[in-house]
Amino acid sequence: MAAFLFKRVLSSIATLFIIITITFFLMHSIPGGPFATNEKLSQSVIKAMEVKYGLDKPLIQQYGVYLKNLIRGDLGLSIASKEGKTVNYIIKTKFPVSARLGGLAIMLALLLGLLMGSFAALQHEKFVDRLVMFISTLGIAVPGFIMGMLLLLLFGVSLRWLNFIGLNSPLDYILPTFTLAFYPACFIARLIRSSLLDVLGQDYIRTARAKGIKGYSILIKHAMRNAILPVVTYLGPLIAYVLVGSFVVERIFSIPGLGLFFVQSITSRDYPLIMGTTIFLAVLIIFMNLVVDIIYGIIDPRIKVK
Amino acid sequence: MDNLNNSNADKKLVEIKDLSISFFTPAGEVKAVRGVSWSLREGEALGIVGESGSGKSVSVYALMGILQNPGKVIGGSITFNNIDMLKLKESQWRLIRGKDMSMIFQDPMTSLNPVYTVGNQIAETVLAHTRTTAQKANKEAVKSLARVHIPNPERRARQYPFEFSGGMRQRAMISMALSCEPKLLIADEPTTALDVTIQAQIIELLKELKKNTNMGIILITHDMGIITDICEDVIIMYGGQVMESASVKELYKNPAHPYTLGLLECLPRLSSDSDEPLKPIEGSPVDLLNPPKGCPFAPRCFKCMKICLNNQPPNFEIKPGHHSACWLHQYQSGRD
Repeated sequence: MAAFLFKRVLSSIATLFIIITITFFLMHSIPGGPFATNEKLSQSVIKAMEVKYGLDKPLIQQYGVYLKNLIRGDLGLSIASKEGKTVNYIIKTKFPVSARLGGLAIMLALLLGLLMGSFAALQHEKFVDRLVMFISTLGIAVPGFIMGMLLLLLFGVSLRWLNFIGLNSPLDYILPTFTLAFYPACFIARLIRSSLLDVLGQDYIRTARAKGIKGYSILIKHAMRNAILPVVTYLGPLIAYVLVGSFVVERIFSIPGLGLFFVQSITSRDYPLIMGTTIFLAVLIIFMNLVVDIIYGIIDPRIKVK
Repeated sequence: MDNLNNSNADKKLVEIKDLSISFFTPAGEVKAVRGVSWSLREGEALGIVGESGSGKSVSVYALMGILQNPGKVIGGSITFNNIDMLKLKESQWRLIRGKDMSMIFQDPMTSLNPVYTVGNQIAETVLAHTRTTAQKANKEAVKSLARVHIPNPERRARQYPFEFSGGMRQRAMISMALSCEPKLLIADEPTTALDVTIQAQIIELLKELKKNTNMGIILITHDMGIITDICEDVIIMYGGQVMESASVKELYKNPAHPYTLGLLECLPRLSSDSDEPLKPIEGSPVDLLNPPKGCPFAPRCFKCMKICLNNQPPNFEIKPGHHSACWLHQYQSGRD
């Protein structure tokens, strides 16, 4: 296990290095710069700004400086933020907002998805199954911003049941959580349905029945553990993506989360923030995949971590 | 009840009467078993022989109560240990399943759950049927493994199925089936998926278990050879019906039904001239979606008569305990 972790950390660092390099040069190859879109600035001001952020140096040198700072854990100053906030500060303050919402959404998605999928599999080709398949097809086909807008219009504007600006009370979490969770819930439902259908037809389920095991025990102990692997695979990167926040959901419900910064940093060519958010997401995804691989080995003893 | 056994050796453990099972598929009703009757006495072994699709497995699944949708028992009765099984609720049936009657399957490679240790899966059966602690159940599991001659049972119990060979897995399956000391063991083609030397070992094991316990055994196979090793009685099934039933000795000495004759002809014999080719039974199995009006075997039968195609033959008793469903016997008995 220790050797496995050591190897994985090494390969993760290599992966991360490649991501950093590609992102760095790709981002600088986009036309325009952080000061091109702002209100008219005089040449001398732009020059001074470029010196301040080190953008006047040759690209390869900037890359070297960035790596050196990165090793010290310094992600640099955000260019677009007027108060001169550091990227570290932005991630530190905004990530918890998105992560809280994302965490709730993942739990809801898992709960809904597993329930819908299991019922559908157990009631194969009956009404419940068809209903679940209908809902999940809808959930996968309808984009998040439509879903969010519809919920906002229905519960926020027409019925006036729920507030839809910011996250000031626990109730405010309902709409954005549901919007975030709906797609993954539907996806999980379909995954677990098809893998459960496969597992329930396996010989060892027949054996369990022949042993006189209770129905729910067969489902939970014998079927679910074998059927859950595809969901675990899907859940790894999903958790990373959902935790860092969704641009769409944070925009619609005016949530000051990290998700907004992913898109905004690119449109404003805020180079340090682009790098910072990308690296942050990459680390999270790499970490989640490592966790998934370890969980795999726990769920299925045939898969040995090496 | 158990002490009555000796006084009444002929007591029937299983009695199946006029059992019919159909699968309701989108294509129509597949009549997999049509009016089958047989019985098993306590402590004896019954062989059920037939080719794929003859209804042999389906009828014992019904006996176990593990018939899967869309399969349904549509007629007849199943009596086990004096209990009318078809009147039981699922929850009552579950208490008998795995305890008083248990089953082993064709493919030991897929019949054990890959993500639990073998010991855990055996202990699970014990826990499901007896009031005991997990610790005691685990000890019981180890004892069970030892009973089927698995070396190092303590260590083996902690291993996963993928760490077992095919023969060892089948032994583990048998030990699981025996963990609650059942009155009936159903073995559904227990050796088909194993290689020949392992087959012989498993058969030896079943023979030994039969000798040492008073357990009834139902052995399903399409291998006539295995039957002679273990069973007292044998029934031959074809197209969802019983063609012939007799004691094993009687069947080998005086096979009466043309299908049985065909099956015996299929067996390679070492003693016969090696140049003699094997005789296959020509034709293909019955279409159970539209079973024939007459005898299901008639289209493939080398002695087929006009009456066979249009009328179901009754079950003629040729000798006491020897039945054969073939019109030939009417004329034979007429002559006698």
